[in-house]
Amino acid sequence: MTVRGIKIAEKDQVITIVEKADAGACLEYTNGRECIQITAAEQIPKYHKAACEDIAKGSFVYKYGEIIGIATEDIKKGMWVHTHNLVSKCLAEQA
Amino acid sequence: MKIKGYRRPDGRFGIRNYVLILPCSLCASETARFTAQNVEGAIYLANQGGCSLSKRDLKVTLETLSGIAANPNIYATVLIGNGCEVVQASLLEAEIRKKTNKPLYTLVIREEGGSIKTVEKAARIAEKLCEEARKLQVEEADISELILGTECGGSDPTSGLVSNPVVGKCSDLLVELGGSVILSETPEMIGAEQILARRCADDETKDALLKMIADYEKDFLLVGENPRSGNPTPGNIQGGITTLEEKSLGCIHKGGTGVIRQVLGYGEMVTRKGLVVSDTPGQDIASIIGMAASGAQMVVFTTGHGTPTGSAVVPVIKITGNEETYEKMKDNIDLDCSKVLTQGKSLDEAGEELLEMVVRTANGRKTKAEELGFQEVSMARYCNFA
Repeated sequence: MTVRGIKIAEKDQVITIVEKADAGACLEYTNGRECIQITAAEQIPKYHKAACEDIAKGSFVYKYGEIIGIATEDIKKGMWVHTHNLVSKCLAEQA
Repeated sequence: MKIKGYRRPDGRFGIRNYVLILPCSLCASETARFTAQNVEGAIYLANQGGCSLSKRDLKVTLETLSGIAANPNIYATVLIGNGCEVVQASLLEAEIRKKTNKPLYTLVIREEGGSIKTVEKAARIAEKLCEEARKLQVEEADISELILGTECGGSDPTSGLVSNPVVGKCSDLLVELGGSVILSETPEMIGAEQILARRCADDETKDALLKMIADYEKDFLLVGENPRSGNPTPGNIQGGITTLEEKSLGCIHKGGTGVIRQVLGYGEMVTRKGLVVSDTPGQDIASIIGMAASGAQMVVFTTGHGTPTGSAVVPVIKITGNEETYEKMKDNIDLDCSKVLTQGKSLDEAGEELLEMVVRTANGRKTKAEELGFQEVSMARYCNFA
């Protein structure tokens, strides 16, 4: 099973997948030059995000070429990125 | 790259060629509508305000109505007042004269002796103006004279993923070509203010931008609401959006990645090239009218669920990244960019396709909303009627 992913900006560490992916599914996206394939580490819902590189706990996460939040745990390539492992940076700063 | 249109005496370049029948207030609106309906080539702006206004709303209304009259898609304006409204015809006339030297005629219903006499006189003036407008030669101008407004409404997960980034690519291309792009909808910027602030050309622009967003938030806090806490909504989270900044980034992406050159109050005129930000509400139609008052000759509107919106003053190109929505709402939507999702088409390619449609529309192609004759009007306001 191959599921298409969209990487919006060069800098992004996450892709958005256009169909639901099961664990082990191939996630295919392009970085503008070449086609890249990674393996889904777990089930990921449609239009949700998958890490396209390893992200360390406490580091910023980029999408749209900008920071969308901070990783609350180590996230491996192919893992689902959502509210369980990503928090808002601006709300964290406000608190 | 060139576009076709009409050179105005104030130097601006329009892509449509209308005579505007502009009521000063709601009380003059039906008289204005009746006039416009009887003259081919005339449009009318349904003005629901214009009276019983707070000082702040009076200022915004004058800025907006005068901006619409000055919009380069308008050849000339016939202003119709009732006589007793807060937006006095003489007051609005003076505001319009500050912005443009295009033909302008003013009639006051009470002075003319009622609506029928006013309509007769206004229609004869409008008829003459339309005849003049039709005689104008179509000229070519560089695409750098284009001011493109950007808007999103009826959003779904494909909006932040496809259609807004596609519009962003188109915006970047237009800015590279020397044109101007307006990023609108202040509430969508809450949560992305620091990101936008970093992109401002200088400290003055940055301070204006941060103040604009903070003031918008304050207006909500005044009525006991917090626009920050409810976002992203449970529906957004279910749809895959995790954080407030991610949601806001999806929205602001339609302005592209350019340096922010200017921050405008609602309806204030664009005077710089490149990317500018306008303080408009999240309500699509009020946002479009605000951008038209700022001088946009055209608006690109992204939608996920689909919406019929058009405008009397500016062509509105609607674009969706949702294949199903396009199939269902072909009557309303101009461009389907869902192939980015379904066939791996690149955002760059889709952005170029949109720019091409922008050029074709400038050159006379009718948008779906123009074909239907849709002319929704809404204006921002801040207080209840006095």
